[in-house]
Amino acid sequence: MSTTGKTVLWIVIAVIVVGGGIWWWVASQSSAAAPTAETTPPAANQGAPTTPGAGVTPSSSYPSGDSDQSIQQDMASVNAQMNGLGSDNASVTQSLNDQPVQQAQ
Amino acid sequence: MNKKYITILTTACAAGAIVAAMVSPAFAQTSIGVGLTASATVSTGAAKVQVQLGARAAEALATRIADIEKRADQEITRRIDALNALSARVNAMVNLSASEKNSLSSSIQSQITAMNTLQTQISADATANSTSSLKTDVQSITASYRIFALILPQGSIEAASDRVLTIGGIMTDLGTKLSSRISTAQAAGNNVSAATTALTDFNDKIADASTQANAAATEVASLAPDKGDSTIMASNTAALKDARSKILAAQQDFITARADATAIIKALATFKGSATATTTAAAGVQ
Repeated sequence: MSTTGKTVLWIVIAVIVVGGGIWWWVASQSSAAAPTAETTPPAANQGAPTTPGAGVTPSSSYPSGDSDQSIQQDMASVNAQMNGLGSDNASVTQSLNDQPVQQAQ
Repeated sequence: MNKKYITILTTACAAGAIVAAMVSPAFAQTSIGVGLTASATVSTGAAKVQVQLGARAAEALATRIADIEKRADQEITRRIDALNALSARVNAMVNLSASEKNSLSSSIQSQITAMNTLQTQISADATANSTSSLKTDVQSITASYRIFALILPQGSIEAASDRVLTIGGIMTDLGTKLSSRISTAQAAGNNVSAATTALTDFNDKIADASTQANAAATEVASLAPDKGDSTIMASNTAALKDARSKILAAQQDFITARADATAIIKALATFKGSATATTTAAAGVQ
């Protein structure tokens, strides 16, 4: 085999080894990302029209006490209770405007 | 005396008996305006006239009693339903003390019991055609309305006040979290002046809402039934309306505070090194 032929052979082997290494690295990254996707909770508050309030995306850069998720929960609670307050106020108004059924004399 | 005079005389006697029955309490069967039954002993044609009039009177009386019972039942059922709903709401209150809650529940339950008793009484009186008792029952319904007309808004305002305090508690926690996040963003070199201003307003609104709610609850707590006194009734009504205005003011405070919180969250999302906070407008939520 000529020198040129040996050089070409070594280049081919090097390409195969490097390519295989890259393929293995990509594959390992994909398999590592898969569980994360599976454990991501459903995006229940990401702009769903039936869920009022702030759809705050969870963040891991803050402690759980003031995390986005915690703030999101507080906002959802506030919205729910304010709906209740609206009902309470309607009841107050209704009770103040109450009219009895006229009784037969 | 011929047959013609006998007939005239008999008719005159019957008419006189009927008139006596209509005007004399001794003959009347009802005191609610249905006194048409006569008890006269006449003969032949006049007796037939009396029987017909008696039947009509009995029919009118039955119709009248049914109407009284129906209207009374409608009003009593309406009140019981409203009181039951209020009772459930009072039981769900979380900020009221146990003694205050028991006092309010006791007042409501006593009214429900009184209404149930009255409903049973009216049914019995109607079955017995006891029109005088029915008249008393109807008067009782009308008189007790003054109590109902106080307890219902009074309890509703207490419940709304309790809700305001609950929301205030949640928002106070939220404010603490937002304040922490603003401080972190400021330490990271962000301009947080707008967020800080919004947080100040947020806290002010929460404080005012709590003040309004406590004032409303205090204002109505000591109100007592007017017992027919128009002056007390007027002052009760004024107090209830004023308390309602305080609750509405608290609600408006919370709407503003929620808008402040939303603005802060949006601002946090734009800060460098901050969380990727996004907000969804809470349109239509009162």
